[in-house]
Amino acid sequence: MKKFKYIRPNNLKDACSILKRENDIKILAGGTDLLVQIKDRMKTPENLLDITYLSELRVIRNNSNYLEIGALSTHQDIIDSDLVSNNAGILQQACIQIGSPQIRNRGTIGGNIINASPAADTLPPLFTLESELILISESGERTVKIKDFFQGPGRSIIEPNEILKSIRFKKHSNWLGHFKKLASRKALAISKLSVAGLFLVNNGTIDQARIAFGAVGPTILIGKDTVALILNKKISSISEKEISDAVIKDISPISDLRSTQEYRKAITTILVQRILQNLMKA
Amino acid sequence: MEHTIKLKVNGISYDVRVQSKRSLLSVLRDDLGYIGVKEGCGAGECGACTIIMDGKAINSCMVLAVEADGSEILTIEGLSDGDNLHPIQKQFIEKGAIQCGFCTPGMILTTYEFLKRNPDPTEDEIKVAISGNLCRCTGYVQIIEAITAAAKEMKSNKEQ
Ligand SMILES: Cc1cc2nc3c(=O)[nH]c(=O)nc-3n(C[C@H](O)[C@H](O)[C@H](O)COP(=O)(O)OP(=O)(O)OC[C@H]3O[C@@H](n4cnc5c(N)ncnc54)[C@H](O)[C@@H]3O)c2cc1C
Ligand code: FES
Ligand code: FES
Repeated sequence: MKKFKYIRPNNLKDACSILKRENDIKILAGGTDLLVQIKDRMKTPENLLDITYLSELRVIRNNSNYLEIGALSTHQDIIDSDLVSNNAGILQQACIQIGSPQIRNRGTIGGNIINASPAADTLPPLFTLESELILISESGERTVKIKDFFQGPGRSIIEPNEILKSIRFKKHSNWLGHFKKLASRKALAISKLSVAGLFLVNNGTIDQARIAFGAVGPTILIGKDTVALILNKKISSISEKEISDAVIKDISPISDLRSTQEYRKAITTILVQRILQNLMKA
Repeated sequence: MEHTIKLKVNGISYDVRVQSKRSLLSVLRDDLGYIGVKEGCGAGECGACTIIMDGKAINSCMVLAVEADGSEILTIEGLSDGDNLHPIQKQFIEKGAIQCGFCTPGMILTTYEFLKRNPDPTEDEIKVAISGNLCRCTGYVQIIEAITAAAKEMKSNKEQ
């Protein structure tokens, strides 16, 4: 591992001014992505800013219509939170499937977002929740919609001097959410593909729907055609062929070492079908 | 760059000089002699390096020693009460859940944290709990039996 300077700020303000002052600096949260990248020399920062002790960034709170999750909340914090289970159960379904207990105890939602992998498991649920990201720097805060945030694998519009402070979204207590991921085994495996679906269902008819796909494009993809197909329809009236056609229009998977393009298309269709079947049971 | 950090390991306080790039795993093993902490993959995949840090099971290969400054750590060396083994340790021996023993410290510490949160687990919950700990010898059946028996023993110890 290359040498670096380790810096622990006293508070958020301090962290922002260090980020402004230092060049070549990386933020360290749970380290479950970054320390592997530093070890493998994929990243070689001169300075590491350890924000793990900024407890103000680890709060999950109710904000009238909104739920706000501090960026340093670990996957386990989110799994343990009643506020999240009552208002955004779909996010918990993703966190439960991340890595292993040890990774969930350490890895944070903020790190999962900023690492910007198209396979990051919290992202499809956060897209269906229409989340907003609150970024802070020395010059103040700004709020960005998650759908405008990512630019490609590992890339987003966050500036080097900014910290992701929190994630916020409207409460979705009456919505039914499902997150499904396919990986080579249950634990400790990166998603080959994933689907999140969030719905308001009334007497078997889908009144509102949001669908997002992970690991089938350079960033998370929104299921526009699939949503258009199922909206205001009785779930039982939608055919498999229709679903498959819509899903294939929505996604642009590639072949890589984890899976092939054809396989990803076929399985994504099946996962969407399963989610709709689950909805019929509810 | 070097830092002086404070660690409390199994109740003993240490001041250690460490370079910022050192992992907590290597400092526990090489500087402080806690060789029950094992290095398998060095990348968060195998759980051999699991320790309890401030009450949570974590992979010590994925934490910098400087990050652990000020924290309390439990390693396998600190689990028994003197010569009296912890019920989890006893049951691992009893049920034949140890062969080469390389995965055992991590497996037992993961179990220790898990049973604190969930004293009466189902078999499926146990499987999820140890999903971050790989064993290449025993085959998990005995490990799951040992955890089930340890949970029972700990419960009845508490009720007495
Ligand atoms: C064995 C293993 C299994 C894994 N399994 C999964 C899995 O199943 N699903 C999955 O999605 N991921 C998985 N991961 C990846 C990883 O654990 C997650 O992405 C985790 O949420 C990253 O969070 P972190 O706090 O560890 O991030 P870090 O590694 O600390 O940081 C990641 C990146 O985000 C930046 N960053 C972190 N926090 C902030 C912030 N608040 N503001 C600005 N920048 C920030 C860092 O600078 C860095 O570039 C796995 C990793 C390992 C090692
Ligand atoms: S050595 Fe740490 S998880 Fe394998
Ligand atoms: S006993 Fe050998 S690895 Fe588990």
